[in-house]
Amino acid sequence: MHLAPRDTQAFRGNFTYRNSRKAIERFPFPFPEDDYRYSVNIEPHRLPGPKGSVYEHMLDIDEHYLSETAERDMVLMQDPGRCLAMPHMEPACWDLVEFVMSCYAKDYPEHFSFERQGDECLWENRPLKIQQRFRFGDPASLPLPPMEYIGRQMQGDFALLDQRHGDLFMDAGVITSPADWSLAFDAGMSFKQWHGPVPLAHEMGVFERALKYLCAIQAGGPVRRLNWTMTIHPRMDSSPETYHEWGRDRTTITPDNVGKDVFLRVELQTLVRMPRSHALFFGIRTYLISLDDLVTNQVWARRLHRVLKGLPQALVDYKGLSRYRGTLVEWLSQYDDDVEPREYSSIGSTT
Amino acid sequence: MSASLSVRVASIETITPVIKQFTLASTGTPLPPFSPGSHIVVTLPIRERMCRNAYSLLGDPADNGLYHIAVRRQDASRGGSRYLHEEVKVGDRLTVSSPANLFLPSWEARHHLLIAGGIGMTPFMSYLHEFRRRGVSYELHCAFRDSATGDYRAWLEQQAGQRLYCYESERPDFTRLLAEKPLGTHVYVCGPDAMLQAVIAAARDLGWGSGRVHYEAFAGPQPGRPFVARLARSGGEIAVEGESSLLEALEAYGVEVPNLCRGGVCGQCRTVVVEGQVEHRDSFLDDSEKQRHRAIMPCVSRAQSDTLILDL
Amino acid sequence: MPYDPDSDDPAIKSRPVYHSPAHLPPANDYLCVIEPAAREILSTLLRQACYRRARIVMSSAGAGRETVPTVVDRDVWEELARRLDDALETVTVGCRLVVAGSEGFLWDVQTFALEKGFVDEEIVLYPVAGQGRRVFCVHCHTLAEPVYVSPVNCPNCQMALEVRDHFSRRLGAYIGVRIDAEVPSEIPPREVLS
Repeated sequence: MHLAPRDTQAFRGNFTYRNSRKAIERFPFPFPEDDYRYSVNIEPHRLPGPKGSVYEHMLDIDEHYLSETAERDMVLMQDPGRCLAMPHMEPACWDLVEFVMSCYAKDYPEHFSFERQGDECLWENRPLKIQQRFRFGDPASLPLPPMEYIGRQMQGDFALLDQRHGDLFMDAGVITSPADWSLAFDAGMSFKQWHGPVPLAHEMGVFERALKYLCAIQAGGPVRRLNWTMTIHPRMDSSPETYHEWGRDRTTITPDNVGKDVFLRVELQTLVRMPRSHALFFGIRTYLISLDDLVTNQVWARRLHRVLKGLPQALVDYKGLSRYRGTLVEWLSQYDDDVEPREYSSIGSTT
Repeated sequence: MSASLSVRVASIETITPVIKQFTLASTGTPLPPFSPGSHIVVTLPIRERMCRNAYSLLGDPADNGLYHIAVRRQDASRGGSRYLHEEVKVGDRLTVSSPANLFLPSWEARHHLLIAGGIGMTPFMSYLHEFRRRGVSYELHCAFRDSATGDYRAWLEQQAGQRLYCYESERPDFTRLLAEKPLGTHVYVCGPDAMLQAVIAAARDLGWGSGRVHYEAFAGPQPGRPFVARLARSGGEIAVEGESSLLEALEAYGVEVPNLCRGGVCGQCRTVVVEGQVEHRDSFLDDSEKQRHRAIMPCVSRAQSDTLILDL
Repeated sequence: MPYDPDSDDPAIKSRPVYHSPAHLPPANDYLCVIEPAAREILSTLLRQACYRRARIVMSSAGAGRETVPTVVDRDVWEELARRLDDALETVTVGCRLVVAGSEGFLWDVQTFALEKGFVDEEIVLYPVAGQGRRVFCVHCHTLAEPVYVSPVNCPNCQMALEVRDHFSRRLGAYIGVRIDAEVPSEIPPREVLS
């Protein structure tokens, strides 16, 4: 697997981020229907998934690995509070270390290796040129606290959810590419509380059912779902903290730059039971695709047009699309020939 | 819904005349680690039907290599424990679920008050390993029905020392146990239903918030009258034998129903009833739901009527 | 626990809805933690209750409570926390915690009490009306109170913030986000907060 272009690409400033043809083909297009409806769209994360797809392995790494880990470094330098672990989450943090190191080493052996003899561990991350001996469970044997240590080497955000009283609590995480939510504010919230701002879904009982399902996840039975929004420029850090830096971009969209500057942003969320702490790993792996790249797939272009055209205003507002939705729908209409939609297909499509 | 594991019976130890300990080893990929208080569901092929029983993992959660369960032989049961005691031999293969946990210690507690009735001590045995590692404060009260308690009592004495209190003929005075406890105390009880109810009542009367009272029931499905289950959506018809639970019959038929505890407490297997009278045996549905007969917990509950039509 | 997550309230679902009972739940022992503004509420409640013991710990704040949004002074809280620690020395399980005061205060005490070993069901919250909101500026991570209108200027970084209804119990505060991030100086008219 081709891990990285020679130069690390930027998710800020001059935005040099580009997707290769392969990345475009494997993009997790999230719309199975022309009409977007909330649902408990959780499904088992059956492994191995379709070869070459984003679902093939437990955790997906792609050509943007070095770019994203470099971006995370920059965000954490500016705002260390994006990495947060409450003291009682220490056992969960060690579960996380073992989980990520084992998965990366097993699924990408050309880039990572992880050996363990009792509690003595040897970890190698060749792309980042890291080699580390440490003792499992002993924070003094790592240069950083365990969650931060491995978090800085992961592609994608994640939270560690503490499960108690039949509920899930956001008590730890590394969130450097949020779709407009703040870990510093949401830390400690329960499942329904941190979903508070989401319109419509509460009345539908979506969160009630989802919570029950998530609390029952066992070791060996991971699940996943897709979440989506749109971003102007391939900006990973679209946090409320930096809103005053990127908010203006929403007013810059014209019919001439839609294709180049508007990006579909999809989160592949993976939920995995951490066996010793009983915490739930909540991975949020973000994929960005420019509309120019997206419309090279005719089925996607047509479907996206219909989804955005029919999106209820509450969702348009919540997802921050209000200022440019009209221009976007107008631009997409050129790809919609109004013919009956076919089932879309791409590598590893899911319903 | 549950991930399945194939295990090999590595050893069988007689702990008391009615309790046997089974040690299970992996047959390939290492067994997943587990959190204290976890249980596994063991599938027992009794003649042509499947019987599935939940057993607590009593070993050290930090020791991944093996799973240890203790099975008390119940005479008035559907044959699961009898099958394990009489039919299963060292070297046999069994199918078990991945560990699930509905009885995790509340790590925010400042003091853990554990109350066990007989075989109910097994989840606490896994607790003690983790408690020792974390250096937490606890006390363990064990009511032993039989005076022959075998190696488990010796092991508990060695682990818990002064923190262990044993009761043989008399039942502990729960009100006295729970009175004047320091703030941050949580109580955990595992044992027969009557003991659970007594502790819950004592805690309630003393003003303990329900969030600090934790319990794991040792009820599993009990035999009952045979009945017919009809599936409204798929049109199937299933004869549920007296010794099979409705959940087991559905699973044997090929219907997957989410489930976790198999004992009527967790709510996962809740199924809508279209027609028929339910014989409720669970602790999950509230009174009004039970009276309406429009929902059933198939892991333990059965039908009063001859037929039950389910929304499946 | 007064907050009802299944409430039909159309407002944002993280915002607490207080179900403060008219009469205190029965208990042998009450620990009451209040701000001065809540003295009368508490007197009424205690007069109606049947109890063996009730202790009252009162915050020194409130008397000189600010009228304009000010960065929250943790010294006041620290002082109260020390007195609460003393009071908790002799509390055993079965005690009911009664908290009355401004919204931020309620959740400061609740968060503290949970850390010290209370559980949700053992705590009753009585908000005193008209005390304004506490706001968390997401840009500089500063807490400010009391806030009565939106938008409001963060007293620390001066950004004009839209005060939203998304609430954090840990902070006892509502989130404040830059109001004119998209079009600078496009600031909606002031709205009085409920």
